[in-house]
Amino acid sequence: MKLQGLPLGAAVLALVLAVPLGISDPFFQNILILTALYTALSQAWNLLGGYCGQVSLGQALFFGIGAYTSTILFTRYGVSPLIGMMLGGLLAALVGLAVGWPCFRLRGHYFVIATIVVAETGYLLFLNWDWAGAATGILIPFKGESIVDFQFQTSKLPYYYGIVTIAAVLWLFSYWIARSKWGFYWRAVRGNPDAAESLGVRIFRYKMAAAAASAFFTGICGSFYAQYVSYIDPDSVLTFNQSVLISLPTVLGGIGTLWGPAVGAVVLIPMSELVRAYLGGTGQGTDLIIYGALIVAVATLKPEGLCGLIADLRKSGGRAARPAADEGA
Amino acid sequence: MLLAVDDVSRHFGGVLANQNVSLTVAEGEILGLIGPNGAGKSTLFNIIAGALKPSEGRIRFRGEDITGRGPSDCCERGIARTFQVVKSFEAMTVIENVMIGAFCRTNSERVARGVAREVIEWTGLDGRRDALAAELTPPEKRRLEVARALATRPKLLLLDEVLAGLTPIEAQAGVKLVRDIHARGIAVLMVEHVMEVLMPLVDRVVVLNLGKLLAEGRPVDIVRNEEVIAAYLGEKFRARA
Amino acid sequence: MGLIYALIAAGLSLIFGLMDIVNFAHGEFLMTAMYLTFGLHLLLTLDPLALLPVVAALMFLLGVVIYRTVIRRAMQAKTSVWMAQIFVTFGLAIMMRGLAQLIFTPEYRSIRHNWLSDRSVNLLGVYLSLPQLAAAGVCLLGFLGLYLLIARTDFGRALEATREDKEAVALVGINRDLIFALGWGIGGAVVGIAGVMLATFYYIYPGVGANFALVAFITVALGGFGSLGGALLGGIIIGLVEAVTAMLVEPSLKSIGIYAVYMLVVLLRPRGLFGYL
Repeated sequence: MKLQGLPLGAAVLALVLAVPLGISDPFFQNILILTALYTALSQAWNLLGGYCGQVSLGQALFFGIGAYTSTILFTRYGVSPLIGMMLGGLLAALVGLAVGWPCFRLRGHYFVIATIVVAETGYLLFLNWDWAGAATGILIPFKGESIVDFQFQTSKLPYYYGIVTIAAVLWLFSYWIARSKWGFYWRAVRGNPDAAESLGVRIFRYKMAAAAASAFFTGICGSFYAQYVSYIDPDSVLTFNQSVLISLPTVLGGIGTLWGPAVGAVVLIPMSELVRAYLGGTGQGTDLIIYGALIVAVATLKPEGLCGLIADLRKSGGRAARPAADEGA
Repeated sequence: MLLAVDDVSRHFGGVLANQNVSLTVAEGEILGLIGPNGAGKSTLFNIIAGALKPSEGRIRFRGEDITGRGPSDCCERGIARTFQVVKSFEAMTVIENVMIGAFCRTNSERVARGVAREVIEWTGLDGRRDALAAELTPPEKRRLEVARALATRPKLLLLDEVLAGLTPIEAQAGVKLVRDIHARGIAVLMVEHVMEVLMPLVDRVVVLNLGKLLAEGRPVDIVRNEEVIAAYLGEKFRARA
Repeated sequence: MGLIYALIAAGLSLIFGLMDIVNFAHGEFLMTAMYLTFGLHLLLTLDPLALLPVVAALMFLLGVVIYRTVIRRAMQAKTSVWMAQIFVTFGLAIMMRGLAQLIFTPEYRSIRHNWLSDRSVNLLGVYLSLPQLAAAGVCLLGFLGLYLLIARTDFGRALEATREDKEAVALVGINRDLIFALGWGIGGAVVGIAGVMLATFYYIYPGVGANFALVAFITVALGGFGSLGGALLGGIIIGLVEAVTAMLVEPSLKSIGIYAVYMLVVLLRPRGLFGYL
C-alpha cells in the first residue's frame, strides 16, 4: 500500500525523532540539526516561492530579523527566546508585508532582483547599526541549561528536538494550507495570474499572505539559529549567500511540493558538511561546485526536482494511478 | 437590463479603439459581438471584463456601476470570461482548474470540489477529470476554460472566440454547450468570426467597425444589412445584397 | 566606473531582450573574464590590454557553449520555464564560483605592473587614475561597437527581429537557434571586455562577480530590460550615484545610494526608463 499524506508524515516524524538516539558524535548531531533547520527554512521559502511562484532570494532578511529580535530581547532584556522567537517571527512577517507591498507589483525576474536588493539593504543597515552590534555582532552568553532560555550545553539533542518541532509544525501547516483555498489560489497565481484574476482571485492579497507566512516561519528559524550558535552577526545571517542556501533545498527537492524541501535538505546539507570536513582547505569550492552542478542538473533535466523523480519511479513501478494530489501539493 | 455599456470610448495613445459604443445585454440572452479585424471587439470585451478601463463612458451591471473595476471584482459580481489564447493552469488537473473558479463562491475545499465535479459533468469533461491541463487537446482546453468560468456561477459569461478553428463536429459540440449554458439562464456575450455557426445561435447581434457601433439587431436582419456587408467585404459587394 | 557598469549591463540586457532570460551567472562571467586575464597574463606575460581581443573571443565562445549545453535545455521545460532558467543560471553561477575557488583559491589577486597601472592623468586639476580612465574609454568604445552592430548590420537587425517576434522569424529564414547562440556569445564577449579592463585595476577574487552582478541588475532595471540606451544611461547614473554616496556616507554603506535609487525606480516606474517589461 502506498504511504502518503499524513500517515507518511507521521512515519517520517517517528523516524526523525528516533534517529539521534543512535548518534552521539556531536559532528553528526550538528549535521542533523542543520538539516532540520534548512528543511524548515526551505519549507518556508517554498510557501512563497514554490506554491505562490514568487521567487524570493532575500529570505535572509527575515532570517536575520528573527535572529536579531530574539537575541536582543534575550541578551538585553532577559526575555525568553521562546517568546522572542514568536516576536521575531511576527516582526519578520510585518517586514515581509512592508516589502511585499511595493515589490509584488513586479513580475518575474524584476521581483527576484527586488528581493535581492531589499535583503542587501538590510544587510548593509545591520552592518552599520551600532545598537544592534554592527559588524561585531552579538554574543549570547551562556546562562545555564534551561528550556525557557533555550540553552543547552551538555548535549545537542534538545536543540535537535526543538528544530524538529518547528519543522514538523511547518510541515503540517504546509500540508493543511495546500489543501485549502489558500493553497489552490496560490498555485493559480503561480500558474497563470491573468487567468486567476479573471476567476476572482485577488492576487495581491494572496501574495501578501504568502509573504507574511513565509517570513514568519523564516524569522522563527532565525531565532532558533541564534540560540543554537550563540553568536550572530550580519555576515552569518543576513547575507545573500544565506538567501540562496535557503532556496536551494527546495529547488533540488521539488519546488511547490510538500516533501521537496525535506528531500533537498537531506541531500544537500550532509553532503556539503561532509565535503567541507574531509576536503578541508584545498577542497574549498568543491562543495560549491557540487551544489551548482546539482542545481543545474535538476533545473535542466528535471525541474520538478527529486520528488518529481520519485513520483516518476513510482508510476513506472506500476503502483497507483498518478502522483497523488498531496505528493504534488 | 443585466449589462449596460454606456457611451464607452477607449484610446491607446493616439489610437481610438472604441468610440462611443453603447450596448446592452438582457438577462439570459445570447448576444453576438462581431466585426471585421481591428474593429475594437477585443478592447470592448476586455473593458467589460474589467481587464481594461474605459477612457470615457460607464459600465453598469445589474444596476451597479462597475466602471474601472478590476477582473476579480467583476468576477465576484457575476461576470466571467474566457481567453482567446487559452490560459489554463497547466500544472494542475482539470478538476483543480475548475475548483479555482468554484472557490470564488466558497471557502470550503469540499464544496468547491463538489461544484467543480458538477460543472465538469455537464460540460462534458468528466472523462478527463484527473488529467493535467497540460495533457488536454486544444478543444478540450477550450472547454476547460468555459467550465472554469462557469464554476464561478456567473450571470454573464463572456466568450472570446470559443468556436474558432474547430472541426464541424467540434463546433457542433461547442454550440450545444452554449445552448446548455443559455438554458441555465446565464446570459452570454460571444465574440465570434465564424458566422455560420454564430448566427443561428444568438438572439441578437452587435456589429462593430473601426471602433464604432455599426449596427445592431436580429441575426436575420444583420446579414442583410448593407453597411455590415460593406464593412466586411468591401464596397463593391454592397450593391449585391 | 559608470561606463563599466553600463557595459556589463549591456551584455545582460542583450540576452534578456533577446530571449527573456536573465542570466544570473552574468557576474560570474565577469569573474571568469578577470581570471582569464589574470591567468593568461601569468602564462604569457602579455599586457592585459593586448589580451583584450583574446579574452573577448574566449568569452564569446563561453557564452555560446553555455547556451548550447545548458540554456537550451532549460528553455524546453514544460512548466515555469522562467523559474527553471533562473535556477539554471544560478546553479551555473555557483559552480563557476566554486571552480574559481578551487583553481585559484579565495585569495585576492591582482595584476600589477601592467602598462596602465600606477599612472594617473591630471585633468583640470583632478587626478584621475589612468586605468579607470582607460577602462571607461574602452567600455564606451565597446558600447559604440555594440550599438553599431545592432543598428547597422544585418545581423543586428536579425537580432532585433528575433527579439520582437520569436515565432515569425523562423518563417523569414532566420535561424533562431543561431541567433540565440550568437546573442549569448556577444553578451559574453561584451562582459569579457569589461572584465579585462577591470582586471587592470581591481582585485580579483571568486566573489567579485556577485558584487558587480547586483549592480548590473540594478543598472538594467533602471534603464529597462532590453534597452541598450537604457543600459548606458543607467550605468552612468548608477556610477554617479555610487560616487556621490561614497562621499557622503561611510564607505561600507556606499551601495545604499544605489539601492535607494533602485527602490524609487521600482515604485515609480517598474519598467525602467526605456525598457520592455
